[in-house]
Amino acid sequence: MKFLPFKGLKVLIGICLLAMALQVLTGHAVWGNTSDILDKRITIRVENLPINEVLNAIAIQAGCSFSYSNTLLDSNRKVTVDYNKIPLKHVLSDLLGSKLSSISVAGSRVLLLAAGGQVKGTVMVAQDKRPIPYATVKLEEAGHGTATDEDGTFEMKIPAAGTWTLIVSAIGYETASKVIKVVPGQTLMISIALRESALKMKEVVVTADRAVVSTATRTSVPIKDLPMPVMLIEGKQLEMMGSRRLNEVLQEQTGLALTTDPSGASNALGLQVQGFDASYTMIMIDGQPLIGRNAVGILDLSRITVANIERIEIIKGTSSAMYGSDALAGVVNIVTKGQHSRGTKGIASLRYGTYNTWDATLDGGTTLPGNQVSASVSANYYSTDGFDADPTTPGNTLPPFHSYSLQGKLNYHVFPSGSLTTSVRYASRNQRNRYDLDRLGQREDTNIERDLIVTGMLQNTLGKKTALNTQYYFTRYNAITTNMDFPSGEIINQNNFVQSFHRFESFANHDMAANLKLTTGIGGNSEILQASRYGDQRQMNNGFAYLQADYTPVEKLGLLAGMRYDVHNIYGWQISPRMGIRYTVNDWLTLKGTAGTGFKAPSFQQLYLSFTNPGAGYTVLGAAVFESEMDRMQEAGEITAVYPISEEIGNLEAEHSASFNAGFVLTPSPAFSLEANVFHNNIRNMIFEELVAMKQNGSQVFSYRNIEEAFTQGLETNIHWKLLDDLGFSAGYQLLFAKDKGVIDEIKAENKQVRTREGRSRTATPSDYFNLSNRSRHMANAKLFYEYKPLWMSASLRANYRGRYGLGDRNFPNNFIDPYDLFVEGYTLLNATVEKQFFQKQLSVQLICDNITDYSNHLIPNLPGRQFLVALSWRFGVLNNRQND
Amino acid sequence: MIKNHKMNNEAKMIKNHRPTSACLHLGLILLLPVWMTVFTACSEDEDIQPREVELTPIDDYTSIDEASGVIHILNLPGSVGNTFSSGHVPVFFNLENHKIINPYDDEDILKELPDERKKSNDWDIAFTSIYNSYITINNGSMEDSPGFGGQGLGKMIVIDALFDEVDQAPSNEEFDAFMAEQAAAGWEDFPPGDKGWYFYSLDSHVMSAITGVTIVVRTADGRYAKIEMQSLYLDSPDNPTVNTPAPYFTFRYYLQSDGSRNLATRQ
Repeated sequence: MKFLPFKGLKVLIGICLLAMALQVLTGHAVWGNTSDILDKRITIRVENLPINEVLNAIAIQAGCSFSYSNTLLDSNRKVTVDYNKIPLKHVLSDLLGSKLSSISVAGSRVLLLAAGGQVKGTVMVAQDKRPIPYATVKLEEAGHGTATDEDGTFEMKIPAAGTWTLIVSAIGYETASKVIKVVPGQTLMISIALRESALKMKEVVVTADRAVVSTATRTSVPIKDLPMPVMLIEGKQLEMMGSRRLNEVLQEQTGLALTTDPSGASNALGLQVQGFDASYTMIMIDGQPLIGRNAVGILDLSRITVANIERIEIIKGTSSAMYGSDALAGVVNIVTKGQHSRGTKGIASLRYGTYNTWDATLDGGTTLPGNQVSASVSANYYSTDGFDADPTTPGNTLPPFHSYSLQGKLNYHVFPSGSLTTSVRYASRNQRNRYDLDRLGQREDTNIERDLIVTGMLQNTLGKKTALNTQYYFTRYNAITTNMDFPSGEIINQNNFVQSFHRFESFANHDMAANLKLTTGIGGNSEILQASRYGDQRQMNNGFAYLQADYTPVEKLGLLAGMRYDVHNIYGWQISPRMGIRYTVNDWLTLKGTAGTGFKAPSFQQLYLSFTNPGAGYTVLGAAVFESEMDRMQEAGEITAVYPISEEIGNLEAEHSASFNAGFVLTPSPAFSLEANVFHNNIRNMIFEELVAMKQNGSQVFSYRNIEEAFTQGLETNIHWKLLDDLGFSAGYQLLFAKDKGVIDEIKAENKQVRTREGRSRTATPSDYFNLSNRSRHMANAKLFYEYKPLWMSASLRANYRGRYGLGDRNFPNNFIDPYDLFVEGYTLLNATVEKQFFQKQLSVQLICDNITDYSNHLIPNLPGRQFLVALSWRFGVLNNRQND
Repeated sequence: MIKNHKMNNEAKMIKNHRPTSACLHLGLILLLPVWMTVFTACSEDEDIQPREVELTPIDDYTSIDEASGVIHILNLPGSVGNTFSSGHVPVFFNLENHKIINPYDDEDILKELPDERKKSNDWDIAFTSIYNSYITINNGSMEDSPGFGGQGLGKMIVIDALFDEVDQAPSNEEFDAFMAEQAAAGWEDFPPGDKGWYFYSLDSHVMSAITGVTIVVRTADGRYAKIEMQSLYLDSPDNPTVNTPAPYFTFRYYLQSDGSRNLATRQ
């Protein structure tokens, strides 16, 4: 049961390849037979017969079926024809004349499109005529639509002449409709004004439910309809905050805290979600996981630039049912900008400020004539001199670095119902930390990181009800960490870490019925690691399949059920189910709840590490190499004692969690909303280091074992309040209890001692147990956003509070945070921005001040002091005018 | 850059503090009416008032609480400039004159103590092993003592008691029972079962002194003393990192010079 045959994985990959092949074939079918059918020669002679009957007769001869709208046939007029061996395409164009605009063939189905018109327009704010970018413009009768560009313009083909209704909607605005009359071959110019809605609430989200794929705006799910807690940070908000790196954005969100490696050995900044350590949250770019976590499982958020981000979606609670391992605490998905518009558009921005921080970005996109190919590129350069929050320790706590990020996306509409998207992302970062090492002279630590991501994605629809998506994803992370003598450059220690990840995945969305959407997918991962500390090249393979149903039996009730099966060549298989329910009680109250299980596969480190600390002499062995390495060390006479616990090392199982979320959304007035969510996560089989043997030189050997059980639970609440038309307020709060169950049991059994700082010993009581380390009991934030429209000015003021948290045992090793341990006292950070726009809002100047009070604490290495920055940005664009020629 | 300058200065100051070149500096310290204040009690326990201790400097690393006779050692460099792989030279300390007796080289780096001096009664406690963190005593008849083969009468015991509340040295039986189990004390529970004065966190990779631990020793010449170890890190930061300079000894002790077991230091 533990080691499912490797064959299973290959079968999965096989099925996956097959799925892709099928998808390509079905895509091809759309073109495949085009010429054959249309070239069929038709012989028919009728007099004064309704045109639909004539078409039926032709269809039988040609062996095809026709699809058309009634407008094309013009109320079934009667016709008289006499064709003799005339190719079908000529027959059709003669029969239907100028009313026919195009013919397309799918298998034996021939789609006849009536000549329509075109509509071009601008969507703007009713109050001040500001353009509204990314508004959705939908043709009500046809059910499809488009979106406006950054400058609020759109254009759309109308399938047939006649009267149509346009539905225009945008987040934060009231939806409007407009009736238009379309004359064949003409372009109608219109403008539509939207009123700002009292509350900007109807955000959409795509990560939580893969039924919605980024490009398919038409099936976006409003946040309020999702059963799980979801947080969304819009690009607009990112701009207003003036943040540069991902860690800066995330630390201002409710319930999210930044964590660092407690040893200070690495400067990586990780993310804590619902009280989970950083290693339990999956960080994704465009729906695919980022790799390159450090020894304590932190994926450094400061690696990631905020430039080029369209929005960030944060799903809290286990998402393993969709995303598998590592999505135990939740998922952060960074959705990068794509090209939405015709023509060529872009933005160039430059920021400069304290700590010699430079942040330069150039984003641009273009759509080639014909709208078949669109491409976008983004380039970012960032550099900083770093910061030292703790002058008593050598080196900067935030070392200087410079970083480049480049991304290119290409979207190609290969066939009418499908598209091919490829993207490449490359990021590099060079960190350098120079310091005096006591009596050993100067040292220089460098950390050179390279990130490469390549994605290829094929999307197409089969009929109206099924959408297919097949993608190949490759990412490679390389870090070369060097510790050298300065200035001689003599290398003292160097570690080269290369991790590659391949994923092949195919998934489909199918609308079984109007109220039942199914999502199913299958795929495989292969992960390869090469690092000096991990012995030879190491490989892990993983296959998976998942199914999710989104069922809305009545409008008030939504049910979401999903399950994922994972099979792994080392730790066996997992099943991760998730259930969610949403019940809309009335206009102002919605109830939600989800329950699910999650898992986290043992990491490469926990399996394969073989590392002896050059400073402290101890050795840490991964569970999978434990036996062989121990044998080797014993033969070499390095081991003096082996403890009985070592018998239990070897079989590492995945860590498991059960996660529960329940809450409500209260909207008593359009200007006010309150959300609350209680969560409980139960984690078992947590993997920890354990002392297993003693070495000749008096130092220790550690390995990994599934031992601990812990829980995190608490309450999260957020309010959004539109105080005035131009003044928005939001606030959030999280209460958290995160504890080790083993410790609680021992305290209950009166087996734990605490020691006062003075040194007095007493038996611990339950109230002595604060939380797991680095977990604040309370966290809160408040944000004000103000816009003064007449002057094109806006401002934000944000406060972020992080309550007291324990750093670790200090005066007595009782393995839990008691009142006498080392604590970081609660603190509040204030950030503000002011922005003014000029020249039709093309130029914007922003002043940013982060950490206004210049709060600094040597116990918070990742917190820089006050920073002032000036930002300039310039939007440019050339509309592709080909359509008007 | 600012950081580097600062660190350089610190390094220089430490060099100047070497006994050979310290006279000028010592004079400076004595001229200045500098009184160090140490809060020894915990603010959490409200019924115990923090007792202010006035320390009078003796030399660069040493000061004395004249009221109780307790000696305070601050930032005394051990076998610095070494890592686990290069190894740490055992440091031999004389409690009477509060001095390290190891020789130093031209660059003020501590050198190995010659074997014949190890067998002398010139030292009372030795800081041995990794980062000089294991404390042992000068006992001529105990194989595991560096003083083995000499005349040393040293004994030791680690007890869970506040430094100020240890009024009396334990009995010979208690010393002997302890020493039957272990010959040195460092990392708590390592080797397993051993009593120690500090613990090492595998999360933070930092060693922390356990509060309420007192090491009672018998000196080479048979007198009794009590010791409280506080830190091995330079400047004893509350949150050291793997790069914080070590080992720099910070501890306090009281030596009863009359040979009795009376170790009372509270007023």
